[in-house]
Amino acid sequence: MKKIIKYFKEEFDIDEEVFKDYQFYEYKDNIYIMTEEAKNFDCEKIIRKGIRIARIVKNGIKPTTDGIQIFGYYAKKNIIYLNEEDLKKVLLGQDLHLELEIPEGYKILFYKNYPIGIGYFRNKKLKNQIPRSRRINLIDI
Amino acid sequence: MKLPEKFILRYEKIIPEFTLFLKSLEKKRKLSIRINSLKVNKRMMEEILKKYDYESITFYPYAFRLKSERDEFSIGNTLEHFLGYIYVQDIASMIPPIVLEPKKYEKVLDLTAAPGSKTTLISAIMENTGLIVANDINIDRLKALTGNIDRMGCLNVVITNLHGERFGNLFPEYFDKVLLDAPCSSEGTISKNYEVLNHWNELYINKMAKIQKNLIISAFKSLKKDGILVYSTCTFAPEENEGVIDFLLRRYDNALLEEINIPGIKTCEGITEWEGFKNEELKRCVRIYPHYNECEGFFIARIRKLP
Repeated sequence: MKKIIKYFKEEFDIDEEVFKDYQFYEYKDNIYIMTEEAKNFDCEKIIRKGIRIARIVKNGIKPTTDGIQIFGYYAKKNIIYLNEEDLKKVLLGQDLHLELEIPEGYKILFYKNYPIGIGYFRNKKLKNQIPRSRRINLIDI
Repeated sequence: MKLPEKFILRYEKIIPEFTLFLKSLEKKRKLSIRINSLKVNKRMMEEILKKYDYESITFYPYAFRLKSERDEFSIGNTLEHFLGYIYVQDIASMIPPIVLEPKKYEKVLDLTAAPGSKTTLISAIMENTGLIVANDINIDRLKALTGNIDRMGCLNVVITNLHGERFGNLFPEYFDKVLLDAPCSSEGTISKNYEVLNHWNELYINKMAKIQKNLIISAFKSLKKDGILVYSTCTFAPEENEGVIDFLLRRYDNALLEEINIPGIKTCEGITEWEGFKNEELKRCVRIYPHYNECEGFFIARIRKLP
């Protein structure tokens, strides 16, 4: 699964070293990350191994919120820092208008030092990618 | 709360300081949380805990009981919960994984895993290494399990949807550790969920005991030699607890019931005599009562498979 490691390096400058203890597995346009022991385990009625780190989409690869919340810390580029007000909007599932002059593409969203998830930035609009099941009405920051 | 008369007659005989026990069921219990050590380092933990008024729990350095009134809903809407840095979990429910003592790189089976509170704790103790097979037959409950595994960032978990009774034959002597947190009549959760009483009767208890006996045989078969099986329930019924352990001990000569010590938790010995069994060894099981520990009622036994 060189392509997923290459993707995270090229897009977010996450070093290959970060993934050295884990294995990848592609199934039906989903890429999962797991331990070697989990990858090697086999039996009937397996629902899933590890967690989904990315999906194969029409224009390439799309990282998942769950994957970013684990590995986003190591990103060195294509990052957007949110203020508290924007964080609340993102967690509610809203898109943002941001006056930023940056290239189009997936961006890792940070609040302070915490990787929140992913967003797609295009023409000053940040399209929300937080899954519906994970959205919250944030309280008590 | 009106308890069935039969319930009172059964348990006033075996639950010590029964009046205190009854009183504790009326009391609203404070929430407890677990910090997810897979995602949170010491500095971050201090940062998170600044927001809460808490007391530490002796047996696990990442467990805390909240002193102030908080409800699960409001904690579910905090940033630390969204990020998988904390998990709301009853203190008693954290104990079986601690008693299991999983080690890094081991193979662990969580036979009836949903919704994943114990699976995610085992994953944290194993520092995201090795293998945890988290199984549950109920497909609806698997949604909660996958959601919790995703949020907590567990990379060492394989989720399966098999009848737990099949593991013993599918994977004989395969796992280093097995947790069987068995489906049960849930009497220990009454204070949180009065509805448990709606279907409470002795027929139901006996039905659950039958299921539990089949599951524990499967769990024991799937265990490697010298491996550890932890059996737990959140119920008080001896038929579902010591009765199941007695059944296993009588069936297998190489099943050794071990002592359990949980620092900071007041435990009671297992019951040695009830309708259907009499066995002094069962003292080594532990019963955890809500009136002594401000938590749900639990039963735990630790069994080693001798070579």
